[in-house]
Amino acid sequence: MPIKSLDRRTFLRASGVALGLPWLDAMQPAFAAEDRDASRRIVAINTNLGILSEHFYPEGAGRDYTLSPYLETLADFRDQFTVISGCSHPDVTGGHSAEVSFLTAAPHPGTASFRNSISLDQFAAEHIGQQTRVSTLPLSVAKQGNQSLSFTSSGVMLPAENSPSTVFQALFVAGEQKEIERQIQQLRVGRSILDTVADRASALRKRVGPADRRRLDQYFNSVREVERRLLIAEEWERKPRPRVDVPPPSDGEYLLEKLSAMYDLIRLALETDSTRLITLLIRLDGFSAHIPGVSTESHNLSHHVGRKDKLAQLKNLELAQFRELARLMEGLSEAKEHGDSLLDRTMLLYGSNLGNGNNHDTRNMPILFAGGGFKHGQHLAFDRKNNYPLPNLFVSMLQRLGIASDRFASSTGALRGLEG
Amino acid sequence: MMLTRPTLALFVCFGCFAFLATADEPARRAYERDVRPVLKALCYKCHGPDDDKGGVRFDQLDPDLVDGSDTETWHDALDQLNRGEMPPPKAKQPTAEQRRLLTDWMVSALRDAAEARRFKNGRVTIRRLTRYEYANTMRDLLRIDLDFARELPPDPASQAGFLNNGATLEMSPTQIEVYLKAARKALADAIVTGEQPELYVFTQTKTAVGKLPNRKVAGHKPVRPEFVLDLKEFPRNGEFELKVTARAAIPNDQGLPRMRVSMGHVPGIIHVPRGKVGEVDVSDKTETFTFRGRMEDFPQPGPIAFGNSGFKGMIVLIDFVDADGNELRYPDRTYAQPPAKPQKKPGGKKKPEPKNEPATVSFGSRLDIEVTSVEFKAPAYTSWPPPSHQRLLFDSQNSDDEPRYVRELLERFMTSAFRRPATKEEIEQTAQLFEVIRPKTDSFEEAVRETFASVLVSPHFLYVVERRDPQSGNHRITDFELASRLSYFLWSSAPDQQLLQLAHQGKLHDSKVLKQQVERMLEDVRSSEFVCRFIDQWLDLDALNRVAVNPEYFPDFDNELKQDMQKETQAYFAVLLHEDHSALELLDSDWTMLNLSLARHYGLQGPRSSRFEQVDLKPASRPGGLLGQGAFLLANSNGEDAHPIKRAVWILDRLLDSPPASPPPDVPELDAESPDLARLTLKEQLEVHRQKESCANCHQGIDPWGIPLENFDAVGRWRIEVPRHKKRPATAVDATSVLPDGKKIDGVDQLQRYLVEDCSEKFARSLVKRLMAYGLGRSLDFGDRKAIQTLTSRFVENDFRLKSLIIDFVQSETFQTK
Repeated sequence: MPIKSLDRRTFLRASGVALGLPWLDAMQPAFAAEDRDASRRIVAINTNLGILSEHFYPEGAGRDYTLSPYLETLADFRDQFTVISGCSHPDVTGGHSAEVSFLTAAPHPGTASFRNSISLDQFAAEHIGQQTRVSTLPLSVAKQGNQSLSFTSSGVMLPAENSPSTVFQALFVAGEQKEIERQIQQLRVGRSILDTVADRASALRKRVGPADRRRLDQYFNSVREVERRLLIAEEWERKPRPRVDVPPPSDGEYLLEKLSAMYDLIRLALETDSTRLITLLIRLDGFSAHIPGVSTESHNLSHHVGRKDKLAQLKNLELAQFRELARLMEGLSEAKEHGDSLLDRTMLLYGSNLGNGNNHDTRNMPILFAGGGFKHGQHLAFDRKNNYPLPNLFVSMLQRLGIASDRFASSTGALRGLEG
Repeated sequence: MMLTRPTLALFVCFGCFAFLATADEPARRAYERDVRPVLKALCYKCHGPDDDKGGVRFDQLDPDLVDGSDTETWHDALDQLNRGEMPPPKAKQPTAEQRRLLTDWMVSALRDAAEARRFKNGRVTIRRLTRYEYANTMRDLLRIDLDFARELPPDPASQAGFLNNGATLEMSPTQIEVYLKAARKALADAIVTGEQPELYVFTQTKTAVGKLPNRKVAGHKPVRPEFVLDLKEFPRNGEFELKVTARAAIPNDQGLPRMRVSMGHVPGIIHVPRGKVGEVDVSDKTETFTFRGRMEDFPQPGPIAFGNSGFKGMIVLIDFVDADGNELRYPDRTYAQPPAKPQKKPGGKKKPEPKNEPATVSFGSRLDIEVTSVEFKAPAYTSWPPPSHQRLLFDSQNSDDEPRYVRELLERFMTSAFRRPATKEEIEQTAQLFEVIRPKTDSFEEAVRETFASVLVSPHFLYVVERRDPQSGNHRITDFELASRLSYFLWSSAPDQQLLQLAHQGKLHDSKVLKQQVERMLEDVRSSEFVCRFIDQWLDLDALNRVAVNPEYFPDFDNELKQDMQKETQAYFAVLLHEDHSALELLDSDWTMLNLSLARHYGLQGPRSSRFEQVDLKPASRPGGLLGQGAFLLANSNGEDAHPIKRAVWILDRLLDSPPASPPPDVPELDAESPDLARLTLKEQLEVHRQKESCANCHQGIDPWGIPLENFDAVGRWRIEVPRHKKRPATAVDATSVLPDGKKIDGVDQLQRYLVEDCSEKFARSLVKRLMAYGLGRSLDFGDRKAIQTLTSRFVENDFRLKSLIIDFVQSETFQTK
């Protein structure tokens, strides 16, 4: 899908629509945001079957490292990314189950008593979510299911959207004026409905025991939160949608089609500042068709047990993924916003919950970190035997968003060495 | 009287404090004086300052079971002491007096704690509906068949593996958004406005012919349907109905051919995006099969039609496969694809001679099918307004008086939705919402939809609510609450009219009535929800989907078989329940439930179609019961080979209620890539494993349970040899082991006999506990101990009949109290 690179402002139609509702405190950042100069974003991507370390990690540490075969595909952006080796989430075990902890770092997924915790994007959304039309965008590329990387503070997963065309429709395609009015009417009625049920919940709350009261509080707070979201949605509904000069994407059927369509969408969403927080879970299971040099199913490939033919196919599969990633980085670095490239304003985290897909090892997670205005161009090599806590990077990312937070999950501080 | 509020509050507070203080102090003193010294003498050596085996240190356990955080550890300690597992045989054993002192203290402290906790916090009695309960409840309430749960996040499983545990069912804003959206969408369907929408009807008796991709293009498979129905016009939303009349010719008792129906469109020449409408076996009787679906769930063409396929709108495609999944096509038949034109060769060469047209073969002499008619109708309303509309907006003499009418409607709707009579205030409050909304909408119906939507996102609908009366101390549930407990237990859905009626009359808790109702509910088709959900969760059948079968080891394995395996186990349990067999047949029997493809997979004969039927296993001497079923065997393999540890853990956990402790975090994995290990079979690898001291401790109690099943390969087929793999030569299966109690076991038959003869009570207790946790929607705690014991004894006395267990359970104090 060819997309011309345009400044975000050219997408935005002049906002000549008078607001019909009282000015809301909650809305202020949304309308002031355009003038702030350092609106940073996060895009976090997890490819779920690991990345072959021998082709990913470079030789040498620091700034003078030698690009590895995979990193060769990103050679043009060498100064705009950092490779991190020897890091992982402390106590996150459980092989494939660790997918759900990629952005939460919640320990021991896959055990019966596991409870997930808030993910990086949702934590950030609590601070900056209301500045954009969509607070966060949990996405997935998968054969089936709606599993995502995003979790609320009570550990509930936010369903992922896996159709780029559906997201495109929601972000960029406005209805007729009559349709907009109807939509606004719907949102308002929605609020009246929720107001009524919130009252019902508080009436019920008085008649139950303390354990149940906590449940009802959770319900009550959720309802109030949705009311607030509907109110914000109403304001956004009045604001014209950004116009994009590209046809709606098609969803595609195969891995590379899907991935490419999803990356295009991610770039559009960032360029138009429709959201600043995007997560993408790439579940490779069942995908393999239509990738040159790959004929075996990907999960099967990931358990290569050291066989040369499988390793060769796996390398082709992963290379193809890196080429798509290179395209995304290229697009982001070409798009400009207030003189900066969009890549400078976007923290791009790419990695896997598995350090070794063959034996389900969750240590030594492969991590690539790009953009966001950090000092890049280096290989941060930590101890592969005694891993560095990855949540420390999350703390640095949050701080870069302007969130004064010195902790995230099992962090022990902020990651140093990236300050520009 | 001038007793002011603050004074009273102070008095109460002081009272509480005093009570706690006095109750606590002597208990702690008694612990320090009597209990701690015994623990010190018997347990500290391994679980004390010098060592913390299993992560337990008795010197640090909090003896306060009410407020402390170690209650469950004490609970485990008591269980292990009672089972004689601790102290271990080699260690110093307690004297009879010491044993009594320890058990007495733990039992009474645990009992007090359970009661105190119940008193202080109450159990979680407000339980959110699970995804599937929500979907069922919406469907039964609105009589609309939509995939209501699609956008809801998955529910987490509890410690015991159940999805309906109130304590783990959380709520988030996203869920509220989905509930609101789903309610509005469903009500827009259920309550209609205006004239009946235009009806689209297409009927064909012969296939339409057009250009479809007939060879592999860019990796897309060719599309070669037997029959195409051409829908030149179609609605983009709403329910459709598709009727296909067909028959098959099946000579020589072959398996029935299967008809596959899909719907989509033809955007170009490469592929045909389409979704599955349904699949059905066709017999030699002419039959009309009815399929239903929703237009919006299928790929639709954009506003502009492309291509020269001849199909501009949507198409319905029908094709057939034989019992092995091969397409049924004959060269002499007419298909939806026009015959390929003979290619002109450049250079004026002669066209190849047209081959003789194959003579038409008469129907009946070979495996064949014939579609005689296909009818499409959308939107599929049986009447206008549809029955859902008539039920929700019933006729009333007050229908001209909107305020009165809406209150009548609400009373009936809220009573079904809340599963108890709605109170006056609730109705009034909701009616006021109607009054707010009404001026903003064009029609009465629209305002009613929105008002009803508020009922469907209400806590009384989304949660199973049991109110608490803190004053009375009476924990008995009301008849309406009982109706909901019953229906969510046995139907995973809301109580029906009859249950609510009996609750209304106050008769439901009567034990005779209750028994009749349970019997009626189990007869009802909705009880298949109980069978499937309980079996899936108890036995963790979902694990089937977490194992990837490696095609390198099993090139012929079709992943569809996983679903068949799941159905085998569900259908088997359904027979045990409905035909009142002994539950011990879960451990051992000589029959199972199979369809054609699964029977073939096991190398058995009998079923001719995809329908499951009872198959006698005696002639093939394949073991029956759960241990011989693919669902268990495959789910507890690694997709390449049998996995004795996984299988053993499953038996210990799911069947015998003695799950081994999870491995400590610092256990090194066996390095499968190490060259020496690669030469060994898994069983031999396990022996190496057990020689390591750190592993032996636990694995001596685990592995022997899995090894007798070595005659089953990873995908559940019988084997007598572990096939060659890479450097490892083929080896004969060795299925002999020695159980922890010294019993020698050779093969699955002996293991099954041992389970039935020596473990039947343990198994019964395990089943009782899982059934209780599922039926109550919560984790069991110490307060349930007595009930577990009573129900287990009754279950054993009643020859392990499931029906009588369910009836006993439902009539028990535990089921009827909060």
